[in-house]
Amino acid sequence: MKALTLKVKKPMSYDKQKMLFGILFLAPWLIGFAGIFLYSMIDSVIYSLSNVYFLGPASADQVAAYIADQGLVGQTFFKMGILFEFVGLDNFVYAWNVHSEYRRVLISSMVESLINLPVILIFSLLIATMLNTKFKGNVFARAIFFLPVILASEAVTIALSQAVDLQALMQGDSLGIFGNFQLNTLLIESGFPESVVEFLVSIVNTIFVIISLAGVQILIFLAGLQSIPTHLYEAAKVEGATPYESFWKITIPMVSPHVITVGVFTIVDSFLKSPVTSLIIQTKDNQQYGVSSAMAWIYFVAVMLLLGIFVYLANKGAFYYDDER
Amino acid sequence: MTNVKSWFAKLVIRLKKGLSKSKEKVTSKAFKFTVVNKTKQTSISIIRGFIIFGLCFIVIYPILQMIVASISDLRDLNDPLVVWIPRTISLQTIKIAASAIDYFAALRNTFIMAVGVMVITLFTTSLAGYAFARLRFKGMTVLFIFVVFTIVVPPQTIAMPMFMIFNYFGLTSTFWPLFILAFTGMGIKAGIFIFIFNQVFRNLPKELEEAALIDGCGIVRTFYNVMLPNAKSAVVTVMLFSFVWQWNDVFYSQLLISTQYLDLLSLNIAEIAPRLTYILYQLGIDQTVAEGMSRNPLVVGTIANTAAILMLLPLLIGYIFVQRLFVESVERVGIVG
Repeated sequence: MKALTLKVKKPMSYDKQKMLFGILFLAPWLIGFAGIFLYSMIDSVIYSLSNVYFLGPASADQVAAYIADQGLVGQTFFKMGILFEFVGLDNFVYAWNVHSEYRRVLISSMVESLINLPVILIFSLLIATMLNTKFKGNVFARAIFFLPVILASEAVTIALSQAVDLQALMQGDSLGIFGNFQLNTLLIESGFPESVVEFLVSIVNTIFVIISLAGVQILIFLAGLQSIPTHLYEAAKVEGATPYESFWKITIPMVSPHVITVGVFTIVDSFLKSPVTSLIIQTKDNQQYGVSSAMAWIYFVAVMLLLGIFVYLANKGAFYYDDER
Repeated sequence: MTNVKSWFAKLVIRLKKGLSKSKEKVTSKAFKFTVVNKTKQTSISIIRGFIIFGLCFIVIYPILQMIVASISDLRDLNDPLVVWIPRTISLQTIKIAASAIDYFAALRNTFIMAVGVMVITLFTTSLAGYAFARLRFKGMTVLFIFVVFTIVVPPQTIAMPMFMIFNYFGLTSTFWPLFILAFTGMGIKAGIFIFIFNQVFRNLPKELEEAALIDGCGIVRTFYNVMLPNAKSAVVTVMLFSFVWQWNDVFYSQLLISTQYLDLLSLNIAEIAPRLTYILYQLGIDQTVAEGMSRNPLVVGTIANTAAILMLLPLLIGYIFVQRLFVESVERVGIVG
């Protein structure tokens, strides 16, 4: 009886608690998304539509004096030590039509990532399939294959490109210690036609670049391959399918959803590493803040275009294994 | 003699047996099939071995080359007789490279930064991933689409205003911009980490959570004591990737931290070529010689190479120890598109 008379504080219902903690757990990310990401997105639109003058902390009079001094005609407003003069789409026109390099660099890196995409997709799928089979030295080979993921550093690439063209190092001209990978000489001496040799050597040279670009992709495909239920292969084997057939009929369809993940990652990654990035930063360092933002937006639209086309095509071909669990 | 005789007899018996056996097998279809299969299998494994060995060689080759170049004397670089094994081993290149990138100060800074970012990123992304997977409320799907959005939007697009925010608060000479970015889940590819955590938490059995609830765990304790230990694979993956990416990062560091105030390995290496003349001069090399050296692409290349090795050395050593954990854990994560 005593227990009944005790006043029990009614606990919050589990669902309510869940929601409260959900918001609490998400809070840091929400703050970041609203405060940094969304704010920066909106701000960068404003930047790209205006001329930006970096004044620092200044009073209203000083700003007015500055506007008169510079003879700014457009609509202006002042925020956080920065003066904006609205110029419409001028920055975009400048970046696209007037800037000496931007359009060329953007188009060439788009083409490059379009060419690299299927190569990286096929290559990483093949390597993942190969690494997924059991053989001696399995662990060792995997460890080596993921070295490029660890060692792929933009900083190193930048440092080396300042000194010697990295490609020249790899191709091994007569550069002493660097020039000892004499595959081409060996092949030509042994009587292969020169064009064939050059083709082979160029493949070997690009393989290193591709491996260093494909590390994460191989990992994703490996994860995908290992999530394929083995009973599918067993059933196919019982029915008399060859490994070749089960690769095309089981592995490829089951792995196809991962193609989207890998493709999106590849496109985003290849753009992040492209010369467009350094060009945008360079423009920013030259105090052309508005133009830099406009460049970033053109670039964003280009990436979204590529991504959209890719995801549309990939989604059409992808196969989803409806495994209710 | 008897030995030879018995050996011969055995051989004859064996041959007879073998012949009779093989006759049987050749006539049977099954035997043909296994023979074909066996040769096929061995040939496939030989080809696979070749390809894997070749690719491994291609990956390792430039690393070995860099190491050899870094420990050999600068004069050996032009010597066509020197292949792989340097004539004289000298630490001169390493010394120059180490002082060119201000190695020990930069190493300390980079280490502090990478570890800090790693821990903070793990905290934020695991919480967010768990919330997305299990603590769902209305409008969660929209928020998750926003996560995907942060992955897809290139950081260049929002780089400028981001810099302005941190510049306005006067933080660009400290680590704080990177730490704040990590804490708010906007750091390097943080969206992908949230994605990974979401995927893993979603695949854990619901019974785990229910059992914890019945035993009287609150939501925080369920997360920390029950769910997080079960998502060890994702934890390892996220920690490793955030550490390595931060260590190698140029973009965010270049944007948000000025080198004048803080030495970072990646930034110092990216600027090694322009700084070289001055550093050589400081090391007591005659100015004209120093200028000549820093105009020689081979010398600059070698020194940049050596600096790169110095930068990647801690990562390489760490990788040897955690490699097994890393490769295993990543496979189990099972990112699904």
